Amino acid sequence: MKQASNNEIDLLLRALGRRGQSSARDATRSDGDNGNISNHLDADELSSYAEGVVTGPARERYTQHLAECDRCRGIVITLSQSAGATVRHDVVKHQTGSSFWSTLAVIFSPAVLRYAVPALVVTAMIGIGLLVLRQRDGTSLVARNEGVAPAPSVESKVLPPTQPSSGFADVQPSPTAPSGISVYDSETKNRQVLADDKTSATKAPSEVGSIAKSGSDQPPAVAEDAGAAQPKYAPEPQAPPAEPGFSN
Amino acid sequence: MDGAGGLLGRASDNHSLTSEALLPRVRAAVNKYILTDDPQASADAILEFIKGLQADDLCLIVACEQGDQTAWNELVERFSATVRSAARSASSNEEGAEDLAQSIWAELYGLRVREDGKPAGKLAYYSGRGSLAGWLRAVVAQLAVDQHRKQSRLVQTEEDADFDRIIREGHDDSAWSGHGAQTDPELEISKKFAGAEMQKALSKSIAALPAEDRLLVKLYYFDGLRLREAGAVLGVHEATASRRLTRIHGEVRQQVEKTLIEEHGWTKSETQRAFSEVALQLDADIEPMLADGSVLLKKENEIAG
Repeated sequence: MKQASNNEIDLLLRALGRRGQSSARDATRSDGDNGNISNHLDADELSSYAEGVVTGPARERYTQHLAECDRCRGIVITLSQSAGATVRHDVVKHQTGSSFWSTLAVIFSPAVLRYAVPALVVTAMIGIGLLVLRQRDGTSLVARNEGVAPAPSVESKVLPPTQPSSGFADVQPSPTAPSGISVYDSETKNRQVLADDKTSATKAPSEVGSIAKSGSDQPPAVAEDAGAAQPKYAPEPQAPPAEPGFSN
Repeated sequence: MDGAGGLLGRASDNHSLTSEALLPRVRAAVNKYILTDDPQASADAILEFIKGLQADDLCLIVACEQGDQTAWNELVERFSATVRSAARSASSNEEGAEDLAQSIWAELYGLRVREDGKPAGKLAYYSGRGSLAGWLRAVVAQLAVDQHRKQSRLVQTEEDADFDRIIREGHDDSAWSGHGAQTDPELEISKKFAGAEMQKALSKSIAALPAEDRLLVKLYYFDGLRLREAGAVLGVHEATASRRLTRIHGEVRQQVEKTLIEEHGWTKSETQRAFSEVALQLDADIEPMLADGSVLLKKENEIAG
């Protein structure tokens, strides 16, 4: 009921407004100042009112004038809309200037963290799970290789039986291979890889020690590679003869 | 004098002005905005007012008025874009905007000379209460309105005359009396009379509203602003403007009913029936034109809660 009565008044006021607009337009075309208003607000008063810096009785006085004067009201409307656009522009500029911090603030706001933290935890757990599974898959791949029936390998090599191999010292020849010929299948190769790992693991401290003695800045892995490239039976370099000046 | 000194101290560039140079301007502003309405204003109130003045803008304008060429250059450099933008908003074409902007600088500088030999420009009327940019926009708007009215008075073309005639024809009392809906002449006359009384009562009730409420009604219904825009002019939020408008509807309705009953001898039921009929008729008449506006009002009321 109240809404209906408000709607009726709304319609009546709209009709009155249309009539008021046309009479104001008539006044503008005839004498210019819609009625008897002669003391218009000056530019200073208009801009101050539009910017909302006029208070107290002065504001009341200007409001009364604006309610009656179409000319001044039109200027205040224009100024108010311009001021609003300027303020919005300044706000946008300000927001652009502090975009880094505002972005950070948005990212670390409680509303975002509430969902982001559980999502990150779940993602991390899934990632760790995938890593573990992948490692397991790698182990089972090695195990599967062990189960493969021995077959002649493309990488078969003929080694002299008496000559100790630097990298394959503990490798036994395959029972199926002819005597004097060592054929490496995948099984022996895998074993060899494990043996190499063990060897390198046992060699590492001595080599580290030798690196430390030599004072090399190279990382151990590089030194290890260099050592592997060298034959094991290569004679160790002789210590340089003591210089005459340093001997007793 | 203390207030003027404080203003100079607050300004980032006081353009080598002295307190004596600034004092007349500060005094004029205090008189205009404080002492006119309250001659017994306290010293604290006056000092508070002076603290609110735009120190930089005021110093710049006073320096310009005193003939400081550097200050003039700074004024033109800083505010030529503002003036051009305001002129463009107030003009219908680019050429007119350029003419208006040029005439503004001439008005500011002053084409006449005062008794002391200095140009009598509009710069003398800037008080520092609002921003200089806002004041310049207001000067441009005033000048544009004055120019437009001069042109309207001088040149009223045949098209204008036709337009006026159409407007007049469209604004007889048909909207209030059920134009075209009734064929019974007696009933039509009666309704026309009732509509005229209602219109009179409505105008009277609006005139009786407080100034802020009346201004809101004018902004919303007469100037066609949206609630957000009307609220911005009044310095209130859209929701506040919406609540205020709803309250105004109730007050206006009560006042119209009271006027019709007490001054025109209507009964309560007659007023209610007249409201419904007039509103129904208006609704039917202006629905095609105001469909967007009605939807807009509903939406604005929904937003404002």
